[in-house]
Amino acid sequence: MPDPISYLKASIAAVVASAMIVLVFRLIMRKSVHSVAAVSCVLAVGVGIVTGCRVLQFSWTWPPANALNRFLLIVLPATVILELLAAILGGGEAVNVRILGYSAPKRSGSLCALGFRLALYASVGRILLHDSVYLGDVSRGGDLGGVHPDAWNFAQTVAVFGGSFAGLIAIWGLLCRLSERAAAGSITLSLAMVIQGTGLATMMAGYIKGGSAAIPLAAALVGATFASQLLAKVVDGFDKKYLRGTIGIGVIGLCSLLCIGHYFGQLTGLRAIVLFLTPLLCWISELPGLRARPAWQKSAARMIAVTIVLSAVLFVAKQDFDREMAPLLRSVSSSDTERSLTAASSWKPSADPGVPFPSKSGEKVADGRMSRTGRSRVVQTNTVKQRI
Amino acid sequence: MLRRNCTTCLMSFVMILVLSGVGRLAGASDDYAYDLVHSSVSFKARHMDISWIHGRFNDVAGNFSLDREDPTKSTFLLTIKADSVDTANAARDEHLRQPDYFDTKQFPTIEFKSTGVKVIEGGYEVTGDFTMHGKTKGIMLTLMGGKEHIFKDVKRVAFSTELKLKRSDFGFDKTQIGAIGDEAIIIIDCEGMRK
Repeated sequence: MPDPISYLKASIAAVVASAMIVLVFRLIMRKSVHSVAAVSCVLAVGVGIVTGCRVLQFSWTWPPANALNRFLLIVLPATVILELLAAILGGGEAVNVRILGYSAPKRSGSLCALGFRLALYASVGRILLHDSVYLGDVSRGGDLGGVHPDAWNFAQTVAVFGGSFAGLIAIWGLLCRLSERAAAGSITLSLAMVIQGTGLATMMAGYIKGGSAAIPLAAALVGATFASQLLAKVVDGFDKKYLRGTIGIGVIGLCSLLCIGHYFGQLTGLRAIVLFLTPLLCWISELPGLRARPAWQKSAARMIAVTIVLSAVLFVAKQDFDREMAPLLRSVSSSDTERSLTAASSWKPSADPGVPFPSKSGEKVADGRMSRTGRSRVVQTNTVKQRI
Repeated sequence: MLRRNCTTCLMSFVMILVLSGVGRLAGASDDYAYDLVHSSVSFKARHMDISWIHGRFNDVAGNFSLDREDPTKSTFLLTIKADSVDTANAARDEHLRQPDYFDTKQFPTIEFKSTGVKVIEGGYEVTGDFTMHGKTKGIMLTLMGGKEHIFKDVKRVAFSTELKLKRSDFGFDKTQIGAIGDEAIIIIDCEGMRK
């Protein structure tokens, strides 16, 4: 069952933890160093996620048995490590990075980080879907073994993994490119909003635990963003571009959550694709009419564009939830009970065994068919029966 | 020459017949396939600790080998397709297939494989590995029955058993155990047809 109180606690814990890490790093490292600042933002998101997950009591069993555990124990840590490497190797103007005595110049460092990134982005889908019915593992099938009806053939596998790889690279690249032109804060916040929206949509589709995994991630991104924005305002030299690592974590997190929600939960494909592409609406600020506007207006335009699409997706998701899932959670109302009891008390077994439901008008109904009156009684009884 | 060949052929034929008969006697076990039409795997779990929710699995397969002379050599194997869960409510069934419950895309089957069999009065005590939700635990089933019946030249034998399981013991998320209780009772009524 969803637990809003613990979600709120987890959000607060993740925001505070990630913001504290950014601020503490800044206090310790008085001199502004690009790599250290970038590292602090990435670490802040990592610590925030762990803190939020602990509040939500996520299990940390190894080896991870399901997609959500693989996301939390393999994909997210690997992404944090990747972004740390990218921050150190890729942006190390002031830090002389030495690996086994070898001083990595900036260019080779960037290439190295890019290589790690490509490898991780290419393997995210495979990691999340490991051992699932889609990859056709029939070793556990027993007598029901054979190819599972949901198993993919080679072409489908290539299409899914290739598509997710291309999508990840494209979205990460476009958002990072945008962060060079504009304030990264609004981009990260938009990403956090989409991640939170993905969590809600996944929950409304029936996968509560999977949806709740979005909460620590979104909250950690918000915490790191606000802390870095605060430092950007009060401390010279704390560049907004330090948030680029958090964009990388956000993009991977969003893609993974959508993958889990769609392939293991009931999040529809169309909804998943729309949510995946929604962060790209941040580019709206680069449209001719908005490009020359002040920075705060452009940031507001990004957030509003994302909010509109997100609201539309969540509205549709809520409608589906009300139609399909809500009856399972709602208790039987007194009026339903009363109606059911009335229907039950008025029901009398027919003398003719071939007529299961005698009709009020007295006409005979053939076996297997029901009169309109009889049918309405069945529906009324089932309304109560269908609620857990 | 022809006579000797005929005698050799006859002797070989007799030997084959005798050996096959001995083989049949030595391997006294009968192999049975799970008869889906006359069997069922159902379950019930508490709802808010006041009532029971009933359900069943519609897609089950398995086989068992019964050795009447040496029952310890008997084996039992049952595979349940988790996707086939049916609680007479389509929305609830969809929810049960999701990762908060059975996670059928990750763990498509529920399996039991016997590791030891002991004769008890009126049936067998079968120990074995029960795998559900990706977690395997040793359990003991008390199979009652075992009475044989031949119907239209097919030998049939049937068993029934009930077992109590805690969902949390099989990796189900403890935080998701709310209105529906942790403990579930599984009722297996199994009829086998000799292969």
